[in-house]
Amino acid sequence: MGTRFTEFMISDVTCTIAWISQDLPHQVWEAQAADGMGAYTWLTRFLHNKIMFWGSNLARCYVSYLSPDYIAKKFTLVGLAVFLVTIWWLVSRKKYKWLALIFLIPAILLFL
Amino acid sequence: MAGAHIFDSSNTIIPMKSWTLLAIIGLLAFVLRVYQLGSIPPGLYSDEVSIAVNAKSILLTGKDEWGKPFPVLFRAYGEYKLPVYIYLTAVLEKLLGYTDLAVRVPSAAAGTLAVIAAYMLIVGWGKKPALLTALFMTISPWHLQFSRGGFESSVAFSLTLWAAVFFLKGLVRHRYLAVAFVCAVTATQTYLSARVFVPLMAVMIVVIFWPKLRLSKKELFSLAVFMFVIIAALFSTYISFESSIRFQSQSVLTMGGNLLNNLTENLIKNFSFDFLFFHGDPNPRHGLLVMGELYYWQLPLIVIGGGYVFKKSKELFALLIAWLAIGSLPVALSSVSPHALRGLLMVFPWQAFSTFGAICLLKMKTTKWIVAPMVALFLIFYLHSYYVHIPSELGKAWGDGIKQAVIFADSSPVPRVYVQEKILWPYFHWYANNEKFIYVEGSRSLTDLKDPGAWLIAPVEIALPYKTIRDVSYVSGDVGWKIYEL
Repeated sequence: MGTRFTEFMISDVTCTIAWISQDLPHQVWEAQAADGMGAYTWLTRFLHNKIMFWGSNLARCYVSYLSPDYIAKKFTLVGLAVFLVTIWWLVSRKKYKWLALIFLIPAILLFL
Repeated sequence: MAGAHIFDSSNTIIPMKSWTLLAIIGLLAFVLRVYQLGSIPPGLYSDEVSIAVNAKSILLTGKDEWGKPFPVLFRAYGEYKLPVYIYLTAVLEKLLGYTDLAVRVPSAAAGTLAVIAAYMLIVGWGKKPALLTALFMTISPWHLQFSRGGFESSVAFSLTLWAAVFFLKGLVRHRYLAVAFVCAVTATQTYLSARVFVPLMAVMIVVIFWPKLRLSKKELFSLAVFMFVIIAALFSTYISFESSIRFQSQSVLTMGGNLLNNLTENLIKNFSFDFLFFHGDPNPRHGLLVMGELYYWQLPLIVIGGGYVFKKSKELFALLIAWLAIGSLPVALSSVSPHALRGLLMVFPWQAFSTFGAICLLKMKTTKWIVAPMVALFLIFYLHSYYVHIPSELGKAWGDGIKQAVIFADSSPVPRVYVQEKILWPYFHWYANNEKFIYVEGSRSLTDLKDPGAWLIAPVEIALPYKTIRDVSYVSGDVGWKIYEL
């Protein structure tokens, strides 16, 4: 059962640090190329650089695991409802340590 | 929180300083919506051209392109269009001429007015939240996207907000209730999503505010008669088969499988973080593809703002959540979800939640030095993406190149020009002055055309054995269309 659960959890974890790093040079090149020759170099470098893309990809990956559609897909609608109620319950009772633990899970998934 | 009631702006006196700031925000909203409006996005897409052609026809002949005098439903390719946007465009074409700009100005004007309406809706909670809501609406990628194209949805959204504003005004001065009703009905004659949203939201708002309405029997009777007459006059448009053709062809019922599952899945997709914050609607005409319908920084603000509003006013929280839920219904009922255009009505509650989140954060001295640069940075990124990347990357989706091809062929002495794609047909009515364009039926092969001296316009992807007269490029410089001599 344990193995199956792990497989189930990992099967849809596609957004990871490895994926982000792999795609980074391509993303930067694509964005800079789209700016064209006439663009201000400083603006292109300011907006389309590895730090910006890495940060934004990381945020997107992290948040994607908390997205309602992802949770509903993985754990059904009931799972989504349970998740939302749990968050609400923890916030209203100021159980911030448990809350932090829940929000740490997506960060762990990034390193798989 | 200064407001004692939900959205209660009915008795609020707005100080001069707020008017000045509102005027500045309104000016910014206007500039962001009209700057290079005729050229970015590049080209008109097929629905915009269809609107332009029908408006021109109404202006010139009093009939639509199919010869029907002053219709309440306009026949277009694959659907029937609601009338308000087309008549507005006809007015603008009268003022600005038959230009691409005229098709987009109604949307941009409605977008600017929606910013003012958002202010009026929130001002009952204090001038700072109201100004912030107006500012967030002004720079909202979601709202900007649809204010800068010939989208009926933008006008319907603005009318819906104004209906809510006038309803609140009507709580004190009852004659405004009739104005609110007219705005709401006009919204339902502008875009189909409003036909789902407006009645449900109206029922909810009337139920909530019923104790405050305090209408005399005479006022109630007059209002009821007024409403009855208008609804009766327009009733046929609400129940006609034609008006719902688009809905029927893209309804959730066409998806197959379990209806309830499809509905809930569609509903939840409207709240997907990828849609809201990261990539937005996958349709290239509905967004930039590189960012969501809301900014990244709005995510924490919405979470904090949601908690804050819940704590301060359960009624306001319920109303905003209901607004989101009802706003997502038109999308959930269709087979394409998420859909930023059909879900545009959801923009307001997201900005309202963000506002209250920002109010919370700005109470802390240090956070404003983080929030303000963050907002500015993302606005620069958005504007850069919009003005630089859309023309170079998404021009094709907006119909870039077709205008150039049609104008070139039209101004040449060639007697006949063949085209294959039916979607191009309205473009000839809009851009060409001569009746020289011939539509090639889909079953006929383009390689078998025999009409020496005539021209053919075809997408660059189709390899054809004719002599190339001209390569027509997108704004980006890539060749999109070819003109051949047969």
